[in-house]
Amino acid sequence: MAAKNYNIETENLNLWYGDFQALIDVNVKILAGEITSLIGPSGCGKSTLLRCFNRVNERYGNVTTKGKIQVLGKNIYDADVSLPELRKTVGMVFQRPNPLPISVYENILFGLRIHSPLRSLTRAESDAIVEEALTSVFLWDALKDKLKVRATSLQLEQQQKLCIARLLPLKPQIILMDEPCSALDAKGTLAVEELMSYLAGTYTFLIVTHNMAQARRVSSECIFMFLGELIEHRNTQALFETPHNSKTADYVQMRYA
Amino acid sequence: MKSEKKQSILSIRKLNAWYGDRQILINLSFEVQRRQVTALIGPSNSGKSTLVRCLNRLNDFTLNFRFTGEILFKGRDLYASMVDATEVRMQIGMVFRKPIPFRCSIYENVAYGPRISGVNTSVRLDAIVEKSLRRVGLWDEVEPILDGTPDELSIGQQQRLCIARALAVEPDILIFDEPCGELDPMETPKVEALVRNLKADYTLIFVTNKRRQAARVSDFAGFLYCGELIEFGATEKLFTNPQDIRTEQYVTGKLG
Amino acid sequence: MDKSKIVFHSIALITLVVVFLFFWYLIENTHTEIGQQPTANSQQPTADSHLYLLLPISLLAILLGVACAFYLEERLPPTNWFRRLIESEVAIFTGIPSLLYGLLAVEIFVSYTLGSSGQGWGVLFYAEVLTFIVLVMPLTIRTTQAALRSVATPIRESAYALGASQWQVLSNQVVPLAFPGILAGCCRAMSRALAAAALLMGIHTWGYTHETAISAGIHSRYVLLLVAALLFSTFFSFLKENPT
Repeated sequence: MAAKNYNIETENLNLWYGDFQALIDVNVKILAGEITSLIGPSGCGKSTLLRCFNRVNERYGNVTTKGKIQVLGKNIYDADVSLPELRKTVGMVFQRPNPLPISVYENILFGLRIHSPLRSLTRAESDAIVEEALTSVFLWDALKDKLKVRATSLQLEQQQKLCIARLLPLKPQIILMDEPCSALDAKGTLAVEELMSYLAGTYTFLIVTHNMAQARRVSSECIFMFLGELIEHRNTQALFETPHNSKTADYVQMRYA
Repeated sequence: MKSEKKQSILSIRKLNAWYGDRQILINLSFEVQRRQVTALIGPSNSGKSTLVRCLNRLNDFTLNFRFTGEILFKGRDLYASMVDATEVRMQIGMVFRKPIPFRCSIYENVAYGPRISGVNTSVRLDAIVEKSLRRVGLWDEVEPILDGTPDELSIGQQQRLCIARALAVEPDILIFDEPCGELDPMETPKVEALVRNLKADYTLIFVTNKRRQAARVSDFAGFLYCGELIEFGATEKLFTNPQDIRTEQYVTGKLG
Repeated sequence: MDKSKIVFHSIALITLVVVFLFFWYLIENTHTEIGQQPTANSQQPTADSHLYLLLPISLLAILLGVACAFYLEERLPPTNWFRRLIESEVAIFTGIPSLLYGLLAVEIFVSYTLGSSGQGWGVLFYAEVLTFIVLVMPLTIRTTQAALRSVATPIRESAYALGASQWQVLSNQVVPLAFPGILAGCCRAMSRALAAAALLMGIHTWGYTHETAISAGIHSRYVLLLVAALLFSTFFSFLKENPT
């Protein structure tokens, strides 16, 4: 490919929590349709960076952001950017599965309902949407008879998949994931990873993880961060096997040998 | 392999455990050898912590927890009706992932355990505190500030303080639940060295999700995967010649 | 011990002492002054002499509330039916404004004192005591429970892992850490009692003799009580901001 297509681009992004600088001059370009993982020791700013892209950082007081973030070619700090629209385009999945305490069916339609006029969905349409969303996260067979079940009573793995499924009806372009597997056991982790690989291409994934084996398994691009700076951003395999920076090498070697 | 020196101090037999409806541990059986380091490894959320918390009855306070199976400590069932849980916890101590010193002086932190078990002469307490702190290599660092709060110590020092606190009650078995999880790379080797050193006097159970750490410190190792004990045996064998494909994938870093 | 802790402890203690003294002074004076006023029946106690009872009753209710909170939080699992029942009742009672309690008490109070000639006194007394307990206890239970809950589980577990019994963990670790919170809760409950006392005093003296009450300066004391309640709440909010 001659011209690569980027979904997210940042320019000299700096971020402070009060006096503490959490991000220092971050310049990053995220490839469209790929899975990019963010790794680094805890406190290195990887979650903070992730949370910049849908502007949830602002929800915590005391945050100062400087620099430019372009999502799909549009600066998200422009005055005319609507936050609900931004967060519709850039979905997010959290560490602990957090489905709403309502039925599976309503969980999936919840996002769509708040973004569309009242009663604009017919019964048949909603049924189709729910089926499509659940099918794309491999949950339809398991849950088609349990659509009325309260989502919080499902297994954790199913809950996390449901949290991904409920983003899909809004047709997001980018899905941010903040350690999506840290509450799951090994089997659940593998299942969610499989799902991500399946959905990549249609969506751009950005995943924060402390599990390097996972970064290696699932992502095609990998970013290593250290103390608020972006140290290295390359193809995952290259980053793990022939790291350019000595800090990356130390970090990768520390748990691998 | 039957050697005379080997002696089992703790046997776990057909242990199953649940939190509510969720089964966390599935039919585990293994033996812990006296004065050896037994490591429990596995990906996160495999049930390692749940398992060790059964061993000193810390799950007694956990809501919706239930289990079946037997845990024998020196041949006696830990959960038998006449067994006093506080007695069990005095003999099977525990060091947690995050060092949590009590809100009192360094001296009182170490003296807490002996005090509640009835030691109250200051001569004896002084001796116990000094011995425990020396054992973890903290005495020289904290001697001048024994009456100060532990907040001034580094995280690594706090963790060693917590180990000293656990040693002060003279347990038979000491469980380490990811003791280096919060420590920086400089502090970790100190704790690992300490663990190897403590083996001479105590039986140690060491939970970790860092395979290399387990390989460094332990004599025996068990690999847990989604609540099942996939493989248990001598550490060297488990790491160099694993029998199960999942163990192999895990120790080579492909899984978890 | 860090300095902020000492400062906040002393603020709390001083506040308590000041308020008790204030309370005491008020009751003493009120009693002698109002007691001399002519009433319809000489056997009938005057309204404000009841304020004597408020102090011991509130103290009793607070102690009872703290004890109840310890029992619920530390001895019963959250799923226990009794605990759930009490907790939901407590939630309802703390939600009722103290004004309503005051009015309720006055309603019974006034109707008895005016309606009968002295026989109502026994019932009246119990009505008053009950109102105060119902007023003070739920809030104490709630804040004490919150304070106990704020003591992190890992601290308890570290103590248990050293072989401490449940009682030892509670007395050596949990109570010292939860103490500022519990104290703040008691202050809050006291301020609630004060506010209700002010209401009681103000409203029901009116029920007797409108003109004499006002001219005798009860009105000003009523205002003073309200101010005291306000001050107390302010101190409470100070306490609350102290990270424990």
